Amino acid sequence: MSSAACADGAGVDSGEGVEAPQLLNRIPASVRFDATALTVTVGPVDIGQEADAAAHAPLPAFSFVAPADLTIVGYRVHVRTRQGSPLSRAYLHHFSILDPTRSSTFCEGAPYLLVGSGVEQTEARFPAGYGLRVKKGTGLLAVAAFYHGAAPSSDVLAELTMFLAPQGAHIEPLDTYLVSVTSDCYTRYVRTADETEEGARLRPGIATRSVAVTFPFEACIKYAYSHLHDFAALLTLSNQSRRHTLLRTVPDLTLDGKMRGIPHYQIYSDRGGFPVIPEDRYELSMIYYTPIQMSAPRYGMGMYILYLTRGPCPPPP
Amino acid sequence: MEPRDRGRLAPRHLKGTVALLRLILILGHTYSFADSSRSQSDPSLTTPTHTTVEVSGDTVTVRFGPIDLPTGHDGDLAASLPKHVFQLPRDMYLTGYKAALFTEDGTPLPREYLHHILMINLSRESLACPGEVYFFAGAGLEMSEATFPSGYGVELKQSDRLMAVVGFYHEAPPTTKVVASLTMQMAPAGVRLTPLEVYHIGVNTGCYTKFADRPAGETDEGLPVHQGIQVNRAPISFRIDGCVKYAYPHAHDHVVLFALEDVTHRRTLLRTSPMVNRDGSLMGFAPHQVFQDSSGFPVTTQGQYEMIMIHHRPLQDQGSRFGMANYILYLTPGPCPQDGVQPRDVSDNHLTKDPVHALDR
Repeated sequence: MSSAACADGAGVDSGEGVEAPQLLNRIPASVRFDATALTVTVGPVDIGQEADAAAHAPLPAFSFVAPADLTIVGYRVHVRTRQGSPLSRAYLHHFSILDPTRSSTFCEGAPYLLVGSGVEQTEARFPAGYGLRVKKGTGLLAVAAFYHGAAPSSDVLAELTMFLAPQGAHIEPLDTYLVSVTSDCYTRYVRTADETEEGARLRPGIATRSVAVTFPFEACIKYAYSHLHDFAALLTLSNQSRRHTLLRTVPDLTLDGKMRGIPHYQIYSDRGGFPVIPEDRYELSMIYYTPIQMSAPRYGMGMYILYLTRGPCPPPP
Repeated sequence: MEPRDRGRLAPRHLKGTVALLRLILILGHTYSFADSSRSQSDPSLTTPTHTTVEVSGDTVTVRFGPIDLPTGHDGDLAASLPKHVFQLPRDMYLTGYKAALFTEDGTPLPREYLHHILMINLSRESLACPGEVYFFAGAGLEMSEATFPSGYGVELKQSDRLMAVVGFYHEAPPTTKVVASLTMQMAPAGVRLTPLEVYHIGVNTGCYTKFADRPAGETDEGLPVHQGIQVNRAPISFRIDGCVKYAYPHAHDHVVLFALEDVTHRRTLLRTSPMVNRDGSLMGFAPHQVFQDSSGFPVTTQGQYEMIMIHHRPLQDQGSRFGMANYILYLTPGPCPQDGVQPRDVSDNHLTKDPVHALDR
């Protein structure tokens, strides 16, 4: 694997003679690619100096081209300095890869979400034999943002690595579908008064919030990537029609409630999967507990990026 | 100030525990206490139980078993072994403890086989529950390893009559030669520590003398937990001023979070999230979720406090479930010390900062 730092337009150095994807902006960025992984790096940038009141500092979207037919079988985000020192997960607000050549399954008119991560920075590994397919030459977007509130630091890098299946491997294609307690679709934002793009405002103490969820197509969920903020206590997806809790996620927190991550044993990953259908009613709920002495506004999100196969689940063996 | 009418309990799934505590109350003063006449080097008793007490260096290990499960029982869920009373070979300071469950050959067993292990000082009265005996250590399913901040310990006198109580789950599958143990770490002989007191608080009613006031639905096992999200709250008051240095958390399956709030000063004092399986069954408490701080935080008889607990029970989970959320608080009486005041400590590092107490050696 090799890499190339980029400015004002960046390219992938695949090391394999593949045409370099382009990253068209002024923020340094690069893409590294080999047979096992494709890594998108943004930065180095100096962060934490913004005076903007918003909680996060979005960077321009970076575009690049898939250098080969890709089958993504997992991914991971992390933040570090250019010198290689790991940084607190609290520096990263989000990092997502979108496919603008496809339409989102959950948000009409929006680009298709492939992978994404926030402060939890979970390493996602789909069940064996399943993956997301991206055709060679597809233009992709990398979207990242750092937190304004992070301690000022220079030379900060965020990296998103997509793990790839070997060429020729037999992989069942996965689709993505996102369910969220807060408004997640910018083409049809219907935010409540206490909601911003940061999520739902959390009052001190206990805050619970539930929303109805529907699935427009029948599917079999194989993997669920959960996204939460500091002070989250629980995220659940339930089938209300059948009175069945389908997903239940309790994050690992510090003593004061800051996010440490999602423990591996809390991550749903199952080749058998569980079904969702258009006819049933579902509910997504999140619980936050914010220390009651906190006066600064806090915002919570609760979402699952669901990786699924279309159609019913296969019968158990 | 009125005594707290809710809270504090001991370890987990209390059913058998409560029955035992009742027995303690009734029988405590008539117990034939551990051989105070026995050799101090061998405090083990040969009561008609499977319980032994071993002193090795600075540890005291109470060992229950081996016993074949399931056992007979005196509660709906727990199968309690006969109570075991003993005395220590010398005055000691308890600085931590750890429960364990295994077969006689040392193979660890699932934590859910254990209902409770309790350590009770029959010679003292509970601070949290007037008229009841003094509970000073214990563990339930969570079996967390407790280590108090350096320099602090629970004082146990040689003359104190201590009682060990253990209960196994009735529904534990047939298993032979099961052993439960509670290993208590003690300060080295001759070292004096700043004494800790023990104070239990909980969302569920913990004082058995208050059981008559329990709300409908609450049982010895705790408060009923329904499917879905459930929030319970309970006011807490303290009968003494104290400085909390360590908080041992205890909760049941499907707990999501529990917390202690200082309502008067609008401050969250303790906040505990469990480690759970994906179905919500309790795995324990991560060390970074256990409060331990030599500086501590104050609680007062004048303050208003509240405990909250949040459960989420899967919608498809059938049958009755009961929830608890308790903290066993280890505290020093009185206000928290000013900055710069050092506790008595067994460590040389601390002793060099505190030459006065070093002389206590």
